[in-house]
Amino acid sequence: MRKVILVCSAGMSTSLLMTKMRDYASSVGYEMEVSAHPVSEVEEVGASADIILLGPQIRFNLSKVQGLFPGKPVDSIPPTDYGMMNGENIVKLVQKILGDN
Amino acid sequence: MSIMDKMQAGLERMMGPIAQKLSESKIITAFTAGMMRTMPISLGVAGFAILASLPIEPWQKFLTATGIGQNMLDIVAATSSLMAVFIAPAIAYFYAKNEGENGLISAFLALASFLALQPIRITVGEETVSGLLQENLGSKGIFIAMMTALLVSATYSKLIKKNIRLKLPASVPPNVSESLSPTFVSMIIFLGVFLIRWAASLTPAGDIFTLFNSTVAIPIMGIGATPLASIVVLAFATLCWFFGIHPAPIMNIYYPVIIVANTANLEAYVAGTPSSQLPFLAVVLVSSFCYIGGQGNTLSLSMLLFRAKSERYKALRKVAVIPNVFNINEPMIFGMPVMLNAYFFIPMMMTVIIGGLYGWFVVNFLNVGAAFNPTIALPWVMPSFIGPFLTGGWRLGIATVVALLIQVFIWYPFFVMADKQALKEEQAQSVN
Repeated sequence: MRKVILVCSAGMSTSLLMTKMRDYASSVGYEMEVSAHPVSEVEEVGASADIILLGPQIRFNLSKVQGLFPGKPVDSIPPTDYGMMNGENIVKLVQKILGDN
Repeated sequence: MSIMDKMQAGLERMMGPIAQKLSESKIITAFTAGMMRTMPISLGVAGFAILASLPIEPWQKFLTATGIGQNMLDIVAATSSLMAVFIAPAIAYFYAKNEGENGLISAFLALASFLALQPIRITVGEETVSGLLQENLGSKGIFIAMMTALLVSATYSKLIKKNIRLKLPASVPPNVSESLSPTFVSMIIFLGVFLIRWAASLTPAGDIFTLFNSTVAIPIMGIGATPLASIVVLAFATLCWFFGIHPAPIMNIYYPVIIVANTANLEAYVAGTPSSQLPFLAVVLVSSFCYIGGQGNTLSLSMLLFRAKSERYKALRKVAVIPNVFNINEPMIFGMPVMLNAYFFIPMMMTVIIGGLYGWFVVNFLNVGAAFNPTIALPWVMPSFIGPFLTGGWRLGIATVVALLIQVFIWYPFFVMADKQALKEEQAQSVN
């Protein structure tokens, strides 16, 4: 079971993406747990994650979050996939980064 | 390189590091986290504020006759208008916690320090009574509460880290001096508080609150809490959003001014000032016309998606419209995309500037704020076309709906161009 943490400014728009990612993951049988949080909580919730993804609107936080979790994959989501709430592409991105293909 | 690319490179170079610095700043981080945690208080009492102000005659008569109405208003007055009391410990808590120190102790020290700065002998007419002035715990205390919280929690965290302790003779068990260490730190903090209090008492103002509000606060509020300043700030925030940078870090700097303005309105309203004469009515209302459906006024643009001919925008409609009703517009910004889209730069900026000028006009000349109730706090996900009906009655509600329609017209020609372009690209693709 992979644990994915999504963060954005208030955790609202990532919660939208969260449902789309769940839908795709369950349709292909990828075992993944995903949750959305405001960036101010990332320090508390990030420790148990396998991967942390940032909404593109807060990509300027990337180095800060990477600094908090050295060695953990932290990335920002491509803007177009984020805007279209493309759960499929983003789950594939997670699989690629984690080597779960 | 096109102008757009140059602008992007320039702004990214300028804004990226600023936004990053701000978001990494210990002060801004503590400030944002602390302020956010005070929201449940004003949102929690908003129900009473709404019920107490429902304009239904028999209901109002019932509230007055039973005394229920007064109690409802008193609850609001004792919570939302005492914002400074909650702000001080909340910020101090997060500052210390982020430093890895005890948040609760830091919060108590900040709250105690804030109260220790208060004048506690109040002259009413000829009589002097003991008490705290409500405004010092509210609008006139907010800036001081923030500064106290940051100073106290920073001092606390630093001194605890330095492991300051009394040098006691070797025969005293080590745990004794260890247990006295926090006491020693708080003694130093209260000594600082005492010195500030004493120094302020030597000035003609007599206390730090009067001193601050008769000097530093005047230019801050005089310049910051004006419709023009809020339009400029929101235009800048919208510019950031156009480049796909969330404007929260920048808005956080301006936020204290808005909180002070809101709290001052609330105090005046509770004290019986008619809505149209509230001290900061214009700044609070004007900004609401520059923010319909989130930063960049995208609700109007999302409604235009119902006229889309391209498959691309039809698909976007399915994911973007409903979130945008609740002021979540990331799908619009990144999916349309509005971000860095040459078609949308001009209309997006125009919606803010025209929205602001329109707001300034209707507030000043059509008195749409006549029924505005500043005690009603609403969560930010409240749809923009419903909120104003609750806070300002039908006048403010209709004024907002008209602003929304104006913004539809601003976006419309640019939307049609972008949609045509998208359609053309789709047709070209299907031919290939």
